[in-house]
Amino acid sequence: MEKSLLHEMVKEEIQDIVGRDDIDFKEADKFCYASDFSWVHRVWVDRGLRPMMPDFIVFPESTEEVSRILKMANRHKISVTPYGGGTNPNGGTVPLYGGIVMDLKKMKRIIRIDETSLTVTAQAGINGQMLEWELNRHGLTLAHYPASEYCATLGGYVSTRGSGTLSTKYGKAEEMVLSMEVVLPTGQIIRTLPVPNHATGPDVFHLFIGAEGTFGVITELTMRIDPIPEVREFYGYLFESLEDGIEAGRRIMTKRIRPCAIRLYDAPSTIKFVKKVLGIDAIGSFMVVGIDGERSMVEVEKNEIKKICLELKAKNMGREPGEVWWKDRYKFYFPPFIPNLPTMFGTVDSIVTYDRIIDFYKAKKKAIEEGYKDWGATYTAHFSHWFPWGTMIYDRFFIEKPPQDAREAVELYNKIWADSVRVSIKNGGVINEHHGIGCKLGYLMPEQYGPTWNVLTGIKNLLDPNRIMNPGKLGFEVSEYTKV
Amino acid sequence: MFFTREERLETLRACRDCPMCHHTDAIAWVTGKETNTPRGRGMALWGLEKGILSWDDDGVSDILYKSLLDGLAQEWCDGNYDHDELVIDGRNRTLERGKAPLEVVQVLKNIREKGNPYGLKEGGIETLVKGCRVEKDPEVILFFGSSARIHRPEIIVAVIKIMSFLKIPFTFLDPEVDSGFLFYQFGDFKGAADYGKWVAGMIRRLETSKLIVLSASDYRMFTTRYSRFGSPLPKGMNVIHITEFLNQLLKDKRLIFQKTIKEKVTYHDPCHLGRFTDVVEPPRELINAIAGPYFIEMEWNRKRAHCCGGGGGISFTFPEISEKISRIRVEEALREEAKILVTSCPDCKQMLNRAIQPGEIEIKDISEIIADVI
Repeated sequence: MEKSLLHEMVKEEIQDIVGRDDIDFKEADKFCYASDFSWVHRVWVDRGLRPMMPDFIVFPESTEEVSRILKMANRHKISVTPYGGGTNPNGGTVPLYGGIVMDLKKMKRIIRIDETSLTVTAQAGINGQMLEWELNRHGLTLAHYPASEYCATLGGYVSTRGSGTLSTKYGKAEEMVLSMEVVLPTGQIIRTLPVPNHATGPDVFHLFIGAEGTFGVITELTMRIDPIPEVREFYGYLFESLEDGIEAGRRIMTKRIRPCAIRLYDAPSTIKFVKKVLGIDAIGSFMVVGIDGERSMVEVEKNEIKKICLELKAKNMGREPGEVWWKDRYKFYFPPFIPNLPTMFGTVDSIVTYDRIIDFYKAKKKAIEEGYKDWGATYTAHFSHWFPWGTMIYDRFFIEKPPQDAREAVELYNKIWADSVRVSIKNGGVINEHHGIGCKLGYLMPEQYGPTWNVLTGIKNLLDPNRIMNPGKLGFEVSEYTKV
Repeated sequence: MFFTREERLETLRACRDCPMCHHTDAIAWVTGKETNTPRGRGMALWGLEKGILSWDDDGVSDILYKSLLDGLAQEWCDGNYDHDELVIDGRNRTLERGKAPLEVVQVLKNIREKGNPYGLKEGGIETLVKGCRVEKDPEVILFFGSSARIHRPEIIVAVIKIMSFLKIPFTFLDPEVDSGFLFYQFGDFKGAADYGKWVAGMIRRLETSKLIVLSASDYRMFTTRYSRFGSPLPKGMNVIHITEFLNQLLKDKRLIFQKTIKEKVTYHDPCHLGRFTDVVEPPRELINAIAGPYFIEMEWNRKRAHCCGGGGGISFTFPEISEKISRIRVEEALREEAKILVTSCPDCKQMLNRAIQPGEIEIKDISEIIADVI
């Protein structure tokens, strides 16, 4: 494909900033960045269709370089898509309008581990697992364990408000942040306040958490870390019904006991999960509970938890199911264990308060199983991140034989999502709990936010007047971009 | 080549959409690029499969040749997918269309014409080790390998010293030529078959049934690749790595050490020895016998050892990246405060040695430390 003269001029400007090695523009390189882990993009490429391609991929090594690239992009009105590990399942990192993909993975330095305050400061592009291993060498942990840990970056964790398997105790990534350095879309470099709790007015810091790169590029973060706990134990309890399991979880959380994990499986997933992990058949609603920390505290907490579970007539399954789940928690994300094409599947997760969760679950289940009965749609759910006031629901739909035609598949997929998300919103939930909005769900944001949507779009227009930052994501308006 | 069509497609579909071994790829860690991850390579191969990309497209050959082929992706993968075999198959397709990097074409030409990948004229083993001759009624064939001959002759000196000390008569190819492992790594399957047949013939004419190999990649080539390429060594030929040979002599009490090492020593498992051919404990038993409590393991060891930087032929095609990876491995040894980093492959020693600063650590082949203490 012949490149235009403008392409060559822009390429030269980029090379002037990052050097020859840190820019890519060949067809094969661009293709690698044109798809992510979203089902829509995967099925498109699986069927042999060409996805939207970027024009350049750049690999900045410093905040300064990020800033210079953004200034240049503003001048030319070229879109910029920030990229960490690219593990978003909702199309958050795919470039929809050409332009520059800015891959942050060369910015991977750990700047400081503060063993007194228990914080770590690192550049945003550091791989999650590599960061965790380095902290472990100091007897410390970030304790953030998403399935994407081997691939995702620290900046990505926070940009998407990601969750990990122990978030019930350690918090979602958004709750671990103390402070950030961000490059605004116009290239200005800012630092947020040094601590997240204060009485110094409404905080700018919150704008960038969950913005998925639409409000600027996070370049450095200071995060709370934790000591590696003295003990960490997992137990299994089998409840007769989901309602009993939910009530047990609610009592545990509202008594302010602090399990590191609660994972409650609905009836269909109990059958699957227990068979997979323990090789036995089980009917009911299975719960894995994790407790960690100082031994003395763990002893107290685990006994309180046991009391609550037995009060609700759960069968005590002992440690084995819990420990096996913890050991193999990532195994089920490897092929061939993970849901995969050709099956159509989506995780339509949401979150709601305890008083509404059972009815919420029923409504979402009905929307899939009855609404898409003709497609043989199935629905599973587990409840894996618990809060003082409610729990998230990690629910998925599956269609074993989706349309072969890519366009038909994408249409069906988007329809199911829209239906499911609208049920969530109607029943007191939100569009998504920890996978983000990306490009797929952006158009539903005004429905979710109602009149406050103007606040977000106003901030977007203020920070990014040329609308170059990650256009097409989160439902913000796009602009006309220069074709290079 | 070693996949059926179904296996290839299944592996391709697995890798193209999977992030789970992203962090094990040393090239991706150095470059920061998605294209250098197993998923990136899978994506590129899928694009080619479906015609979204063409083999003529810019960047295809770089993606496929920027790979360590160190086996760590498969080792990490709970699905046990052989990512490296997928990449080698891709390299074969690239090479057959005349799109392989120029360095690849040159290196294979060098091996064919000069018997070593560097294209250097050689003087024969006697010029490296004074007075060294093929002996009458040899018990074993020593296969030194191109790295040892060209870059690390001190390893040949050490091995011959050990053999002479043990009074084991040996022979060797004269002149010795490369095993041809790079034909396989670079995807030249026809070249591997033709060249391998020629080398196997020369080895057959030595009429000795025990072949002792120094280099891990040569060892892997002779033991598992040759027969697959249709150029098998003589029936009944016993191919053994030097560490296995010496470890057996240690167990038989024929190899006895007069001294011990009293500084911290660590060991680097060559990929083709540890991960690919399961020769994990023999070198360790030897080092233990010499260094005892001073022998400490690196964090990434045995089946999970990190590559020395020489994998996939990248020291020829992408030398800067290769050297950065070597440095990472050296720093892992420095983190353990080791004074000596031992390995059991001349290729690995060559890679690691160029990444050290003067005085910070010594890189030694296992035969060198043994030669020092007998």
